Amino acid sequence: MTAINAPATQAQTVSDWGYSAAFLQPVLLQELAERLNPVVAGLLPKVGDVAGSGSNTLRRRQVGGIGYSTYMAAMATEVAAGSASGFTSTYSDITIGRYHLAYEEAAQRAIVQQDGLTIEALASATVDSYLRTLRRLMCSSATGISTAKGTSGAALDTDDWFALVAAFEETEGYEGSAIAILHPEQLTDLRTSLRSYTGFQFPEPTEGQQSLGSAMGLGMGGSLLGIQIFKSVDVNSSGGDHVGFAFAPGVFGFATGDTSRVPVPMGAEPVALPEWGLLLTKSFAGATTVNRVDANAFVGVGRVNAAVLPQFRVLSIND
Amino acid sequence: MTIPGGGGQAVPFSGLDGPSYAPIAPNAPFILVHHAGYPGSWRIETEGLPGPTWLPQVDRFILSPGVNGVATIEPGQDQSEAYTATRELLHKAKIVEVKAPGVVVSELCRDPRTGASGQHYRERFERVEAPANPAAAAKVRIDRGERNRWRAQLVAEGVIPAPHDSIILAARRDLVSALERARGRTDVAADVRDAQIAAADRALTVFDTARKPWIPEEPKAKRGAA
Repeated sequence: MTAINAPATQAQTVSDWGYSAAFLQPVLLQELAERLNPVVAGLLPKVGDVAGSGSNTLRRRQVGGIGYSTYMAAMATEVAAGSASGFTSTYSDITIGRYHLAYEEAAQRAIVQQDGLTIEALASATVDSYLRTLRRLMCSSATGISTAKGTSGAALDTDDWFALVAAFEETEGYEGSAIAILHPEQLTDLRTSLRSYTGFQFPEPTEGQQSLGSAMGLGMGGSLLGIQIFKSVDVNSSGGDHVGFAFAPGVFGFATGDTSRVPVPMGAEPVALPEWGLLLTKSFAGATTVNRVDANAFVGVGRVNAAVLPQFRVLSIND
Repeated sequence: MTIPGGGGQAVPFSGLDGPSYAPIAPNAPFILVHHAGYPGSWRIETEGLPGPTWLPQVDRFILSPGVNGVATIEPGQDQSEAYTATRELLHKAKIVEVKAPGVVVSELCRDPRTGASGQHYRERFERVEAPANPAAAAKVRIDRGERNRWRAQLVAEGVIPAPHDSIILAARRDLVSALERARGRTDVAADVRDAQIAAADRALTVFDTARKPWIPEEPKAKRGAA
């Protein structure tokens, strides 16, 4: 028995009869996390599926030296014999890999929990994790882009941005649409540079600032000089630099493996999202009372090469 | 080709203290590459060097299944088989793998925010700095001076070939046009224009005097020599 001295206070009775906290039901707040969905944002279209192909790699054929890439030859005379032209060939590959995420919950927690975070809720959250994985794969694929813009070891500035625009525009065949994915610090550096860029006259710095919104949408960072900017913390770093990237739409694509072809035994309650290459299964271990959900994704991200569409890494200091 | 990330590295038994974890999220292994012949593949650096020096860009090439040609392998397969298509991709894009044993290192890590543990891959010039704010992500700091000296060494040892002249000429053209632009400005005050001209001129001087480590330096004449 606990002796409660007069006057009875909440401090005395709380340990036996009260609560240290009352939970606001049914609220379960999720921590901040970047929600840039590269597919919905139109950055990363699906280009194919390897199911039934006999290979884990999807290859896209590319041709050069035909059509708008070449001229017809001027003939010297009415009867001169023309020679036949050749063309160039290359390809780009997307190799799929397996990605996995699982959650487990013991039966006793399932019985007593009042937070609503059931094993089913965790299973549905894996879809968002899949989308984040796609985003990370896209950023990783960008590390293979050969041409770099920006300045290694220095903050991203307005001059770099002009040089990036020039690089796009000086690429033969560039049709005027470009996207950049920058680390948030790169966006900050760019905005800082805009504030003090000597060449600008009022109202250009203000207009530049206004075109770079910090929260225009999920991951959308605005646009500057015709380049749409998205930001992501998944942008890689290398040698003390952020490795942002800029590209014409269509450079990146993802391929999947159709998971509806996977024979799953009875009882696993499979949920296949074949168009995403995603398969969710459940299992229950009676011996340990553990419920488990497994999410497996068979997916890969690739790029067409720079001869087909322009693409640049955008380097700037990571500090 | 040596590609990291095979089976993780052996970690010595740490007794009662347990293993130590770097406070950062796991990441994918990578190799170091040089995009030979591409614009931006060489830059002038000064930090940690006796003077401005042309150095090759050495970049990360991420090795994660489903990207950059990396495949998920079967149990029992050699890890290197995951990289068959990666080798082809590097070869096709004329990307040079920078073979530098001991530069890419890995350590056990645990993300303080999510608890996710695994391996964190980094260059030996980098160190993981735990954030003061526990809700923030860890920072990776780099010793640029040491990395620059290593990059110079790669050129001296012939690991990375000399740059094509066009890369140097294109970079110079940019500086010359910046100088001309500064000289021709009429829309700013004279002192601002003078400062811009001086800055552009300085950049061009640095460019023209920067050491080119792929060109052997002539031995200095001894004092008093005939």
